[in-house]
Amino acid sequence: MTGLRPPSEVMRLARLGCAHQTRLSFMRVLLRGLRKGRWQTDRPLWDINAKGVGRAVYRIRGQGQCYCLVAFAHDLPDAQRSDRVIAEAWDATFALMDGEPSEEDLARLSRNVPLQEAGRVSDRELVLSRANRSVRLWEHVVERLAAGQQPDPEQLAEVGYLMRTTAVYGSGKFGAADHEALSGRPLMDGPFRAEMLAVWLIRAFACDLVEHLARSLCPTAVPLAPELRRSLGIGNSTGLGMAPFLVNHPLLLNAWITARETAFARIRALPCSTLKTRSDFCVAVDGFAETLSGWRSEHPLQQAKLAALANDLSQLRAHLSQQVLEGSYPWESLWNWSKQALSLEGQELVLALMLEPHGSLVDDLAENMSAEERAPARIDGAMLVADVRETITAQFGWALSPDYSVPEACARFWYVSEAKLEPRLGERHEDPGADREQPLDIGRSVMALAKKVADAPSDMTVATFLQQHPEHRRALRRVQMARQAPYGEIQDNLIAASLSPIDMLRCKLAFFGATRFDPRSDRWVRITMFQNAPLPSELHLLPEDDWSSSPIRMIA
Amino acid sequence: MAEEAGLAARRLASVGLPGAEAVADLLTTPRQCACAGQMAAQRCGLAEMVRLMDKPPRGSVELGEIASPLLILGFALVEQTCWEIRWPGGSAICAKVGLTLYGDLPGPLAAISIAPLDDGEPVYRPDWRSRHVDPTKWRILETYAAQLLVPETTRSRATGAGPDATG
Repeated sequence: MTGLRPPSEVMRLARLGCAHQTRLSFMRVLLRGLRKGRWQTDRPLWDINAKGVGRAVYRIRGQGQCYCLVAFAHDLPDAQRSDRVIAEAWDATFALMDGEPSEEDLARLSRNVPLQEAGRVSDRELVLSRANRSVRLWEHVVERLAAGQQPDPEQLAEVGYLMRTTAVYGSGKFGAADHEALSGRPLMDGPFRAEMLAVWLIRAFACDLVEHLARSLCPTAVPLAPELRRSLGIGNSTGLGMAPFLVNHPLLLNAWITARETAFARIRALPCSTLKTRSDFCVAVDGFAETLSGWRSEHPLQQAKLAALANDLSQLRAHLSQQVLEGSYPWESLWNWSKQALSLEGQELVLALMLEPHGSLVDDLAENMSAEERAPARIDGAMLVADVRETITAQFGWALSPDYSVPEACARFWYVSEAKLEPRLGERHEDPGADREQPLDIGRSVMALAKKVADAPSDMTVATFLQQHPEHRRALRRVQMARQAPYGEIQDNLIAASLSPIDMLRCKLAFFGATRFDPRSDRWVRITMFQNAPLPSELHLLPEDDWSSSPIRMIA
Repeated sequence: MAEEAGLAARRLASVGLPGAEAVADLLTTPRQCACAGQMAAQRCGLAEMVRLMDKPPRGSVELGEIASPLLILGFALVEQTCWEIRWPGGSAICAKVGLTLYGDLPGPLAAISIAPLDDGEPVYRPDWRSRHVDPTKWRILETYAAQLLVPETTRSRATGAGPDATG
């Protein structure tokens, strides 16, 4: 079988920062699962006044489970609307609950959810979130609907969402249930399933609320046309808070990448294509062209990437016009051509597009994207120092190449801000606080370990070594972990002057299924989620998983 | 070691034991440990737990006086087979599958002995439910963790990290 791409190729940050959503992205896996499981959504509570203040409950049931999004709508003065994590008021706040809320639950949540971080939820809640309106688009949509007209599609396309979430907290945050609560549950026992479900229901709430306000203005207001509703996703702004996740969850990162790379290898190993897979691939290419036409960014780095992508797309289409997919091992051939002809963005795009026509071959891999993290790889104390040296040499060459004493190689440090309790990136040689550095410097730590084990006896056990050098425990665990999780490490120096943190965000968000990455600096990015996806009311009426790159065109 | 302390607190809490409190006790009990610069006759419960995890003993061991001895159970809670852990006034039988507790919990200092068991059936299975944490002990942990927080500067505020979109 065609082998997986080596970690030394896949796990470089520049390539991870070019990741695109795929069939294995969590939003798509969730909606496919909800559809297959015949999940049904309704809205048992809508108690919102003409000013848009009140509460609502969205209930979704299937496969023996029930979850409810409890939404609180607020009347937020414009001056208080901020997407900063330190904001204290929002247009809407939410909790995703395991089961159905009683009146007591609603009262309890109404006292806590609107406060977000300053409140406390219980272990019956799975997600805590909040969202702000896109003021410009919101007012336009309300006015148009109230006047009996549809909003301007160009304005909808320009913004892409009615509301943007500014945080989606899960797994134990602020009293919410641990991720383990979902262990063993069909569909929901997977990475970020509860969080993605909450965002999908928040999207439905945003559409319902905008229509409600239009009707409050004028009883003859019209609802949003279904295709315009679908064109609106949920916006999201994501900063450095997300970046350390990939470093702190190596087993999970390994599971995600392994699933994607296994899917890619399965496809490249196919000896021939079929008329249908060739046709579906071309549809996917066209769909992405549509995505690209609406993908805008003012950030110079992203602009360069988008320009390269446009060029790559032209080359890809020209290449495909030569019937290259009709030969033997067509997907492997296409990949080999891509590596020579396209930018990193283009190469990773081709990977994502190749997965599109091969759902029956790869979709099962979505079930392998979790990791047992409760008992992380226990240190093997019987391992010999000689084996540690060997593993470092074989798998951490990337960590041994920088000279960390050079200022540029250790220019940054990760820390947690006292004011915001959020991860931040400082300049080691200019900012105070490097003595309180977070241990995200995996490369430098492994280098330090390598130097220490070089001086230790080869037949010394790891247990004895760590008794003498407990400060190397974390690095040693990573080295041992790399043997079972080869895709667990970002193979770059995460404290170098050249580090681009948004590459870490892009990688994670692509696995979520986000689109339209729009970096606003090297440290935070705007995205859109679930754009073009079916709303809950139409999930079972529309074609399966046909929304990710362009609007659904066939309406049942 | 901080990572090990956090994981141990979670393991203990999952079987209903005061794991976070045990870590807080460790921080306030003099012990033979280089981590916090405190030196005393008692051995560090965290260091001992880690030593046992890295190289599980083959038979019974008298560990002597241990600071924050509850953490020793953190070792047995990752083991496939059962261990009996004894201290004056109480004992526990535990393994990865759970725990059975007899008598009182150990105080901040206790003499500990451990022994592997051929059989044993822990009755308290781990679960994910949230636990109450003693607010006094929680404050100790928060104060300790705060030592790693970095105050803002004009420059860090300016370079920032997060969004401030209002469009």
